[in-house]
Amino acid sequence: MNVLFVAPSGARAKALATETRRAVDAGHRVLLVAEGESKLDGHELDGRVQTHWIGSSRLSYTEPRATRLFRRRLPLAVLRRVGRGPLRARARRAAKDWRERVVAPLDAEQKTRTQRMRRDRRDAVVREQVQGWAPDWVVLHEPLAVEAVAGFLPALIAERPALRTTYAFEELWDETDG
Amino acid sequence: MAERRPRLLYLAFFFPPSRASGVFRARATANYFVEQGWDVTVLRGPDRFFDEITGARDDAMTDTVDPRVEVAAPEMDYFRWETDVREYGRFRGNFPGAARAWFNWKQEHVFPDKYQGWGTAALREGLRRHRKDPFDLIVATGNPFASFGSAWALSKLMRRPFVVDYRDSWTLDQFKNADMFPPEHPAWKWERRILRSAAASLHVNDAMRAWHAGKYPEAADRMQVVLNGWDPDVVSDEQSSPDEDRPLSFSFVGTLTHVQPIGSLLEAYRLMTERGDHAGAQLDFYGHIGFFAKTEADLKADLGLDKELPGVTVRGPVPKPAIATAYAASDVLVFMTGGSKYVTTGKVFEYMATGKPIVSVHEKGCAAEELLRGYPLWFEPASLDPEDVAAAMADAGDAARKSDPDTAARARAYAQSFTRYAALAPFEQWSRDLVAKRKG
Repeated sequence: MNVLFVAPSGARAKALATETRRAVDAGHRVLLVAEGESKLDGHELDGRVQTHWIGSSRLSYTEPRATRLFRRRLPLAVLRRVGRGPLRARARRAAKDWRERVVAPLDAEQKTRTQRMRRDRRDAVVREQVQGWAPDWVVLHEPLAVEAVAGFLPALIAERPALRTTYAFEELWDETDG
Repeated sequence: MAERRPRLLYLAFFFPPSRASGVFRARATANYFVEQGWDVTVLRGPDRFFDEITGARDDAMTDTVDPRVEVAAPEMDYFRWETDVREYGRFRGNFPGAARAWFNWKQEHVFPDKYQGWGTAALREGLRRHRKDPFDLIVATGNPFASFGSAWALSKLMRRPFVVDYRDSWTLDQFKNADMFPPEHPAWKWERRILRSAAASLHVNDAMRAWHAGKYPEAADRMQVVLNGWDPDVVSDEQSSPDEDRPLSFSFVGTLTHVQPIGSLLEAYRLMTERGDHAGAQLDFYGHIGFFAKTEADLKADLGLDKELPGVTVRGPVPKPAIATAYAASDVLVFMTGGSKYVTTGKVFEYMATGKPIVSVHEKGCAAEELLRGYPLWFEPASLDPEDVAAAMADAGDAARKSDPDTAARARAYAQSFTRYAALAPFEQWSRDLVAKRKG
């Protein structure tokens, strides 16, 4: 059986290492989709576990140069230049106002856009792996994983009713029952 | 005033419409007790389990249950079987770790069986029905063994005797001849507790009885053997002789699982046909692959039956009423099991009832050998080596070709003593005596 672990942040690294090992020990093919190896530091994965790193933390939004120059650097530089002698206090207040009104929203937007880029990357990679690797069992190992698959998994389950989805790799049933 | 019929509460999770292999023993027990004048109430597993979880439902089976048997299906929780996170309840959906810890706690401290939720519901349902019209005897069949726990609890609450029927073993791994659980597992404590209180425990062969008697000597004198048997409504006693020109058909009828030595059989069949023994002979598999429909494709691949093999045909499941047709189309029956001295399998009785040559494909020492030894058309290979199996198959084929009516009649006569009802009769009489004695 192909078992795909989705753990974008690798938040439960110890459980992830244990469960993936149990899955390969049970004879399954296992693929782990997670942010990166560094997130699992201290919890070594079994060598038989295939990995696909999302690597979204390397992404960050880059502001247009004009914005950076005319809305961040230049106004503050001018205020620094003129803020000498009797204008010092006023220039400092003006610089503070500018940071609050202009720079802070720019920072917030930059953060939002970075998060969106990382989320889009995460969702795209997870979608690509879930749809491309043809898993029989998808383990949504953390809340972020649920978020990552919410957009397409219901349709996929409707298409492939035998696809298993769980929050952990665990014994489900016993073939000998009956 | 007419005498009140004795009332039996029968806990049998796998009961029609389930098509699990254990269903036949449960069905025969319910039908036989009703025929002998009991009021029988069966508590079985819920429909959703058979429809969605195992996908192993056969409605034709339901028609073979005596209409006088009252059947109820208490609900259960599906913790171990739920494979769609969207179906999780609010608690499990939001706190999966806590939900799992709670489930594990109950396994550890309440009853060690994943069907525990059904057992609890069966307990409630049994009590409710007992309050309306009291039962005289409780019989539980396992697996699942949650039914044993429920029978034990019902017996304490209702002050009625109970019997546990070991269709399978609980703490013994029948195929590995080893303990199923580590010594500290709560299943041991529960099994001892249940056997100490049970009026009787039933086992499918003497080796199983002896193993349990050794483990629980305090209950040994209450252990009985109730063999499996064959169902007359399933196997026709008409005898057909193979047409000289028609190639022989070697058939396996039953459920294929991981534990059977199918590799040895396929190789032996190849060797036999390559040598020219019974040229053109067919090897047919009738029945389901695995007990659960969801795992069928994987198991088929594991068994090597997903690719085309010359002369080998997987004919798939046969509805129960049509099984006689499958037997009629077969010339030699292949008795293949993962066998050990504890495994008889119900199929061997059906095979014998056909009066056809039977070739064994299993490890030496299987419990079924005891029964087959008296069957005049049994062909036993020296070992599971494909060469030996091929030789035994060829001999069985010769016997089928020879088609000696006297031998076939002797074979069928021998099988007559192994019907389900013949196996159940002493136990039913014992149950009747027990109830009568209790009533004074």
